[in-house]
Amino acid sequence: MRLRPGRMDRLEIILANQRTEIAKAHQLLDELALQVGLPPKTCADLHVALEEHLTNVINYGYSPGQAGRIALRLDASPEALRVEIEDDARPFNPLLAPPVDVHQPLEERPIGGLGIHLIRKLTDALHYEYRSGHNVLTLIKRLPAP
Amino acid sequence: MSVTGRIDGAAANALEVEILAASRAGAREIFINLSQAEWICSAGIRVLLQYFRQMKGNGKKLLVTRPSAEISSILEMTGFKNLIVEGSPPQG
Repeated sequence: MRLRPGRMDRLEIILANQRTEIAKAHQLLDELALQVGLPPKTCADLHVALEEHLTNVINYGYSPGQAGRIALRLDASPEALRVEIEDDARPFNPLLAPPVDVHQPLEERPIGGLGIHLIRKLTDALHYEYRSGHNVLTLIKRLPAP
Repeated sequence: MSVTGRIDGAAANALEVEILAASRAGAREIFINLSQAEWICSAGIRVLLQYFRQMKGNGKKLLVTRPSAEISSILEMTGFKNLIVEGSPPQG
């Protein structure tokens, strides 16, 4: 099923800051993909971007034992899919991370920093905002014309 | 060995366990077929890179074969297409 012009689909979920919760984010994206008929490549790219960002927030954003709350909102319009991830972890703008040199030989490549690189590569636009004590990262993925 | 479906953080851990088992069993060459893998996250790439290096350092080999189109694209955009066996084109 393709999106009808002007139609908007919106899904939202609240996650706890535990790695096992990431599966719920993937399920929500699958649900939307089914509803609006996302192309498999678009869907796979977004799954990776979600996995990377949520993993970073959950692994590095909170103090040990701190309970956190992460809101995930998915909005589909006929032109693009908008993914908003709002967390109450410590302030962190992932867009300020230094770029990764992908041309270094495999033997010398540092093992970290790949997550944000993938998020940048797999999305069409990224926006970060610290809003009312929360980090809000918005990912935009354009949808191919039907 | 082959990995199917989504290579998320949990699947990356499972892959590492499998590679370690093969390595401890004395494997000199490990080929990982990713033709049925939907996508791979950075944790999965890190496992591949870590054991590619470790095996190579011991005169052994670990490489990816038959990557799906999405896996191939992700390895390419992260600069890891050399993890793919030469002459193993993207699948599908």
